[in-house]
Amino acid sequence: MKSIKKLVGLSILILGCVACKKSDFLNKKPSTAITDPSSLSDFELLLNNNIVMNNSGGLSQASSDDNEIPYSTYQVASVTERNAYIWNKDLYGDEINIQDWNACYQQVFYANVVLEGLAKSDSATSVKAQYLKGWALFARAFAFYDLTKNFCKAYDVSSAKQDLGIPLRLSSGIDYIKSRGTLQESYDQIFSDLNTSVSILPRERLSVDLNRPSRTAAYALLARIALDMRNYELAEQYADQSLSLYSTLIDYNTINQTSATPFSKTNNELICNYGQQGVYNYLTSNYSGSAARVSPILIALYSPNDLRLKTYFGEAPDGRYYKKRGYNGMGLYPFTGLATDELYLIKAECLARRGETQLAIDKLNQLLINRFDKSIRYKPLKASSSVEALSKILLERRKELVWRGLRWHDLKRLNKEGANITLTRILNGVKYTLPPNDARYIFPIPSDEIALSGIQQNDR
Amino acid sequence: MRLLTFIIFAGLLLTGSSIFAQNLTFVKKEVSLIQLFKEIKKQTNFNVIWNEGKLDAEVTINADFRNAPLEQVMTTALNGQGLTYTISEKTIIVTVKELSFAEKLVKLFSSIEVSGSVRGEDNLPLSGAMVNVKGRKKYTYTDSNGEFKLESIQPDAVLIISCLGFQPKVIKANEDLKDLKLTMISGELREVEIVSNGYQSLPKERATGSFVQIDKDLIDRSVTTTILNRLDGVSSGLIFTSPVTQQIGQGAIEIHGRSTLFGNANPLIVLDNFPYDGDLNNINPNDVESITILKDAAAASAWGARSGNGVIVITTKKGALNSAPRIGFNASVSIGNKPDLYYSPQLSSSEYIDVQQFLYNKGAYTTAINDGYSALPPAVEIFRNPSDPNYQSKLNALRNYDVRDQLSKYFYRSSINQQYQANVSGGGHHQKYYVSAGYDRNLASEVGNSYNRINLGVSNTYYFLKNKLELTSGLMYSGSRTKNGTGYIYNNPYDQFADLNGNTLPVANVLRLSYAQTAGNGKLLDWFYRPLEELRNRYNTADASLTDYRINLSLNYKIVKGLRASVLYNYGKGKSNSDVLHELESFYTRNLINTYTQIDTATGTVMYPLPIGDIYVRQESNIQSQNGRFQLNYDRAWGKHALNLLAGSEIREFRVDEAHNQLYGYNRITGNDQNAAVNFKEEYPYFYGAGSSIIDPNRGPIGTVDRFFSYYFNGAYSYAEKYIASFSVREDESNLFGVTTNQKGIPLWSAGFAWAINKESFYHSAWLPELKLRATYGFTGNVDNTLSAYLTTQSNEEFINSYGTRYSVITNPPNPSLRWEKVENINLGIDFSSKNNRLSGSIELWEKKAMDLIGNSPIAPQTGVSLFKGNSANTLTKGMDIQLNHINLRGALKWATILLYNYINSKVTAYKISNGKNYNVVSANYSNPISGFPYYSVFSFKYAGLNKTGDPQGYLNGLVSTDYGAISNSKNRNELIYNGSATPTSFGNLINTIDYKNFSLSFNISYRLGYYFRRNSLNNIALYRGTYTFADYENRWQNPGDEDRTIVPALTYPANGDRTNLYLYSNVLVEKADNIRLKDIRLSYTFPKRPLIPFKNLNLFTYVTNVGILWRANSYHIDPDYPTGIPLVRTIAFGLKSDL
Repeated sequence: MKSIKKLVGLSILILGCVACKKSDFLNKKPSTAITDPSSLSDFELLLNNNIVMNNSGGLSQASSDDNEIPYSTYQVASVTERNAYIWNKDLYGDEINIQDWNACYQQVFYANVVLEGLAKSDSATSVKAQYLKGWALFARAFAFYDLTKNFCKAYDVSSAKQDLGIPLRLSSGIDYIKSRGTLQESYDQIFSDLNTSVSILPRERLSVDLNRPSRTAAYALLARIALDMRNYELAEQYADQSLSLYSTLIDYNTINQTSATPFSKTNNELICNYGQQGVYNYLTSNYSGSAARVSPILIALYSPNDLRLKTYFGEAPDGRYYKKRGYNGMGLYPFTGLATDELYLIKAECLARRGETQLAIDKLNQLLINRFDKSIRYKPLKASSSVEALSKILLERRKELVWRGLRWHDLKRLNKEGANITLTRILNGVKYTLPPNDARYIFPIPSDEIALSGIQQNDR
Repeated sequence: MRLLTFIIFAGLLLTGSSIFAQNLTFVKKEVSLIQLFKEIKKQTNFNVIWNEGKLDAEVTINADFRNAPLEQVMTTALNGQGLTYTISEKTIIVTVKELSFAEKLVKLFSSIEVSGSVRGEDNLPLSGAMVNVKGRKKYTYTDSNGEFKLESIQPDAVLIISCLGFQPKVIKANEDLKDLKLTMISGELREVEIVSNGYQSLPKERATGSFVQIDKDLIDRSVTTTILNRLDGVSSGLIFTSPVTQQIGQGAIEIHGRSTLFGNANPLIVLDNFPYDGDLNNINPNDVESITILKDAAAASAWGARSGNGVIVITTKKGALNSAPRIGFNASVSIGNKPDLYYSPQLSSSEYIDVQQFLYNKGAYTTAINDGYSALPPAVEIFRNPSDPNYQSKLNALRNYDVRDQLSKYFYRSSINQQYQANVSGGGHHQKYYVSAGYDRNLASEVGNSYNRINLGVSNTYYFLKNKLELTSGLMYSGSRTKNGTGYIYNNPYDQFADLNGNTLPVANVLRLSYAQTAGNGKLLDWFYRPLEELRNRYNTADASLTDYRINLSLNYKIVKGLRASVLYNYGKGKSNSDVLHELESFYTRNLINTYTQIDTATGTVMYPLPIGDIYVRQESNIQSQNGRFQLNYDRAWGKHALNLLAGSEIREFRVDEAHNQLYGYNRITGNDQNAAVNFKEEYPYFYGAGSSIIDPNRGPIGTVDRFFSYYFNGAYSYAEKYIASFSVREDESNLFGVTTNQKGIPLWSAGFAWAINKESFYHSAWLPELKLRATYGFTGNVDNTLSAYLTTQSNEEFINSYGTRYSVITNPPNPSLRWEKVENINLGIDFSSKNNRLSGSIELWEKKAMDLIGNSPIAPQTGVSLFKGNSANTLTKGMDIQLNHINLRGALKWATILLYNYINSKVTAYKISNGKNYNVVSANYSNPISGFPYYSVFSFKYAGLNKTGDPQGYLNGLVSTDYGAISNSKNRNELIYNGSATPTSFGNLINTIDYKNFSLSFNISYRLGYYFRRNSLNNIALYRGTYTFADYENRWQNPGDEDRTIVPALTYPANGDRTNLYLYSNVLVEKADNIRLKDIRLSYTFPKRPLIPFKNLNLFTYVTNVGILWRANSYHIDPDYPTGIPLVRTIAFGLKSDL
């Protein structure tokens, strides 16, 4: 019996020892690869994921009038790509997991994770934490705006409080559903995020890691959004603020016009690098092997000594033009980020719209002098009226900002102002048209989102 | 000193004999000594005293004393017992007789060697019978021929021969004791089966749970390299699943159905007391003694949270105490047929060329043609040049080629698997051992692929402190090497990679041949891809080596009677290297170097971002497991009560560390690489086309650690061997990441009861002398350590963004309510056996209710997550297992049959998140489980045939419709047809074994019933994307009126996905999968023992597997387990097995 007692005693001792160490034992992380992000550098790593963070939707580029594809290519394209090309009422067919929607909300999710993590962080007030907060807010605003311009009506101050917005998810929990709210609320949120980020982001544009925003970039984005909302006064203010921080232009005479990749991803006009998602490759990818050709109407707009023709476009064996790669270096898909040339154009447009004809045309010439062959003397543009100036500026906007994912939204905006632009395509002998202000300018919300969250669909 | 003692004793002997004169008269047969001594007391008043330990007073003699002197009576009575006596006063003292030197000598020389054989009533040898020398601690066991041998036995010794289930036999020792016959204890001829759950071993009678035991004979029945495959077709309640459902996530083995949705669905493997997480290929089947499959909560709750899918307990061979060294060996070779590449239907070359012509005319290749480099099908190259005078003859040549002819000739062969194993086992009084070595050499049916394995094992058991302390040590080593080539995937059915003389030809796979030939104007490496050259030189061979050690130590101490304490420790270490050398000469390397090569158009300077040299991809993984267990066992029986208790705690860690890297510019001779010269951050444009990328750094370590901590208690009480109650409880905790401590663990318990009805006094069935009922209830569990309650991110050295800085990804959204999966089990069973065991078997009914299952849920994309994994589903599975063993014939011709029948009915009972559209359900029901139907279900669209234009028609809102998008997007499940389960609902085997003289023939018929599969047919979408492996191309609708004779829709260009899917997922393509196959045949011959043959039990066998399908429900001659692909080939094995 004595030995039993001894043994029981011993075993209790062993179990006791094991048990007191047990919590340490079981707190071991099951994989070295996983992290529960908590440090500032953990959050920086998340924002640094430019594959997730620095992209935007491609439907607007696929639907725009920049490009044309032959019927044979049309036939092998995906359902959504085909429908986008002919502005079909049913856009997605049987396709789900539409990146134009999903990828943007993934960015919102990442940004919210970072914002919540920073709020809980011990060093939330540090310079680095403030920088990361500004970055995350910028990223969230970029995503919200991309969703808004694709899936909502063009902004109209008179109806924005009734028009549908987008679900504004401001926390990372996945256990709740947000309804669409109004368009005004969406824009309010975007402005709120960007205004905060403007105050805490570093002033200077970065020279290398251009996936990261700066104050220059935040103002540039605000300028783009305000212009899109037709709030030209605000747009001009923001454009000024951005240009006051950084206004370098590239002289296209220094660009190798035969190169397939004329620009590097750290080029001097680039303020913040975003690219279109790698979808709709037949219509939106820009390289020589693509069957997509630039609309001859667009090509015809360039004068022979306009360097943009050879810099932007390559001549295909069939004598037509394809779009070469743009401001994101090797990227096969359109550059959709922010660059100084766009700000010059915004500034010029705003000036023209408030009747500053000469200032507007001067601003435009500041840009264009860098776009024309210097071996031939550049003849500055002239305008005798603000209307003429505006139309010249808008024409140059069309020629400068090609394949930047902006054309579709310009069409939406300008038609709203009575530009009365009708898009037409002829495919396999069938003519397709998209009248101004048509409901098809607004993309339907993907069917899986509607099915799973029950939010309201757009009329199309 | 000894001599002195001897002299004194001798003196006593001599002097003691003359001093008394009392006489006795006593005549009686079979009288015990105690009766005799009583008679002496009565008649002479002499007391006889003896030491109980020295004299067995119950020994009987035939007394025939007529007025015999007492000394004569005593001498007679004690004769042969090694005893003597002294008489003092009125007392006779019986003492141990000390032998004289002379007597010792005589005894030594007179000792004999006894040998003999033991047989049962049926004259068959009885192996394992104990032959005990009476009064001495000397015994042996009969071998498998029933033979035994004992040395140095006194001529007057008495042997007791006993064997379980037989009446013991007592016999006087004799040099030759041939054919000792034992008689059966009536109706009880049965070995006591011991059930091991890995923690304890209990006699089967004392178990309440559900289990199957597979003994060595059944394990050795088949010939496979891996151990688990030997369970196929011989174990009740277990199914080897079909490749069709394995492709969609079903585990290869399923015990009592599936009890998880997206969690780990594999049963827990326990090898010699401890969970085994290594590669199962490391275990040599020849080292395995037995396998026990634990199916219900009672047995499995012993293994806690990882037991939800059942437990397979593997016990390896051990030596035996007191047995001479025994050498066993076996060798076998299995030869497999060449795989049948023609099994799956596909478009003929000619038909496919017509399709390509059509696509060419439609402009489908225009984009590829225009880019200047994309590979074009050979037929398209011909179409591009219609003015070629040989246009037709070139096309006609292609029409007659079939790439499978060449593939079969050059890339495939008969597989040859060789297996050898030898072992030595035995033991002394205090030690037993088992040593084994095995070697396997497999040549796979794919040319160049091979597998070699060496196994070594040593196991020792020592007994100390009068057998109170038992120390077992085991060491297992396994080393294997696998070589796998890359094979060749053809793009066109008429591709040719060799000419008639066997010379290699280039084929276009990535690049157009004309481009590959001219690109770079000689400044690039050869850019042709020649599959046959790759094969002949074994380029890109993946060379994987695996080394695995496993050390087991256990100490067992008997503290007092019934109470044992044990400490067990297990250490396992495995290392695997998987290296692929892409030689500079291989297409892989040449292509990669060329792709990154930059040639300055102005200067002609060539720059190689990727250095010229081999590319060596190395992957190393280290596995380390440690288990410790402390356990107390208490086994006690008193009167009619018996109690078995055990309690213990266990700690376990399983660690995997992986590292991989890729060496560019590698020199296979010097081992040097040029990675230092590679810029992994720069994005380089490809030589052709518009692509660009950074050079893949492909490196980075990753480590995972699973930790468990458990306490358990297990108790069984039995009363009068009639009523048995059992209870077990276990608490498991793991390092589940990010949950609070109280969610890290799960308590699991089970209770069971068994009732041996045949032991009841009211039970008097002569026909069914054995009848036992048993029932268990309890909970098992499952855990997924990859999930976390926290939001987790992942990053490693490969996560570099386009600006060259590191980034991370979110891998797991937060899930604060994450918890363990739990499975409620109910099990009822009957075990029975008829008189003489002619019919025996068991019937079991079971039910498993799985709760809190981790489910994949689609979630609104606005959350930023498109798929969410969490505790979201329940399932209910019910089933029945029947096993019947019947002895059809006894005697010279023996015939026995085993029938296994299993029934399973499973359904998902809750799946919280509403799921996708009807197309998602028909195409992938398993990722969109529907409440009320099995997890693996076949659903289909209702088909309304073809309309006048050859378009398929379905139903929408009850009406015939061609609105394909609406049919596909509909969420009205009533518009779908539920065809049935995709996994068998009834299945089993019929195993017949016929023995005649030394021949034994056995064959196994397996059947699988009550399930469905989808037959492959013409896929419009895939056909126009370059796939041609379908049936029914020739049956498609082509002309008006065809709709009356065919169901195959007309092809449309461009193909419409929803239209294609309506047909492919329609009910007309769903077939019954039911089938019966002749799984295997085994014929063996055992050589009778002959003096000239040095072998014992020499057994020769031949074994054929996958003999053929005897019946199938579908009329298309499709093997329902292989609706596409290459079905399993028939193999034939020859082998021998023997003991020396």
